[in-house]
Amino acid sequence: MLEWFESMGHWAFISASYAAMVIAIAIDLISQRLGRSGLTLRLQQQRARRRLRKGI
Amino acid sequence: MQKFWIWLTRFASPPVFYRVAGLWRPWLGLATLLFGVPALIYGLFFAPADYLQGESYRIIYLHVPAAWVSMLAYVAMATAGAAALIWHTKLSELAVVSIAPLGAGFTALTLLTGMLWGRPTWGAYWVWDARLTSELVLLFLYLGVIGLASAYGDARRGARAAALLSLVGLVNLPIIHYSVHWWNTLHQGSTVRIFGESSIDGSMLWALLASAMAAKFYFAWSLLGRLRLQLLAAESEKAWVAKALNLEPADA
Repeated sequence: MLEWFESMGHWAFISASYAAMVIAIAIDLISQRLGRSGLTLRLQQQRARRRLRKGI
Repeated sequence: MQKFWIWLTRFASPPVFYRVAGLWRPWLGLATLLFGVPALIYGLFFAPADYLQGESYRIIYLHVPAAWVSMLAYVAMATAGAAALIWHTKLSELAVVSIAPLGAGFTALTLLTGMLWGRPTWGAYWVWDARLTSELVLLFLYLGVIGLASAYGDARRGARAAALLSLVGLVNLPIIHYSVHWWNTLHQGSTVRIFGESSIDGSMLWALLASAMAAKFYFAWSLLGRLRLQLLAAESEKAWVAKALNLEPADA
């Protein structure tokens, strides 16, 4: 696999670098989005449990 | 001077910072695209090939900006760490926690793109060269800060412990920067100089500087996003958080 990759020449290394950047940005964006939706869900559940305890 | 401190204290208030950061983010995102897209397209397809390295040098447009941000992020983290230890402000503690994963990401990208550049240039993905090793130490420092911040039951104590580690790790930054001067390294010396002539042609330089600006804008954009999220989590019982997330108030 590595031999095949290296045999593709300089553009293989350049493409892999740019792909790494795209993957890094995607991970960052997804983690921010998941973080926000996860937090919203957690707080919604927290508030729902509290209301349930109070019998509202 | 007193007015400045009053302004700074007001700005450090979580709801004010959340709102102001939200106003800044779209502009930072736009600046990232305006600088980054033309620079990377030009660097990838239109910049002339290097006389010695050929096409592989095009990795410079990712590697160098990522490396600069990896160090800049550490300075920002240590500054926030100092503020957290001196003034115990929640915002600076959360800044330490928010910067660490971003800094680790930029450092990992620096190391990865460096390895991909090293193989066609030096014939090896990795050598235990002073510049490469000190950058790897930087990654370990970021991982240490992340680990330490989450190792305590009390998040604020964890953040302060991480702040202390970030200050101790500052010693690594001059080592990274001057490693190519202090030791005989395989890694090339500084390409861009603030004082003195840069050893890169103007036709390649502008795209490098533009991509470096884009990386900094992206860092700021992402940091504000993460910091806003951390603020929401830390202040989850406050009424302003419920309003920001369109939730019913906590005491409803």
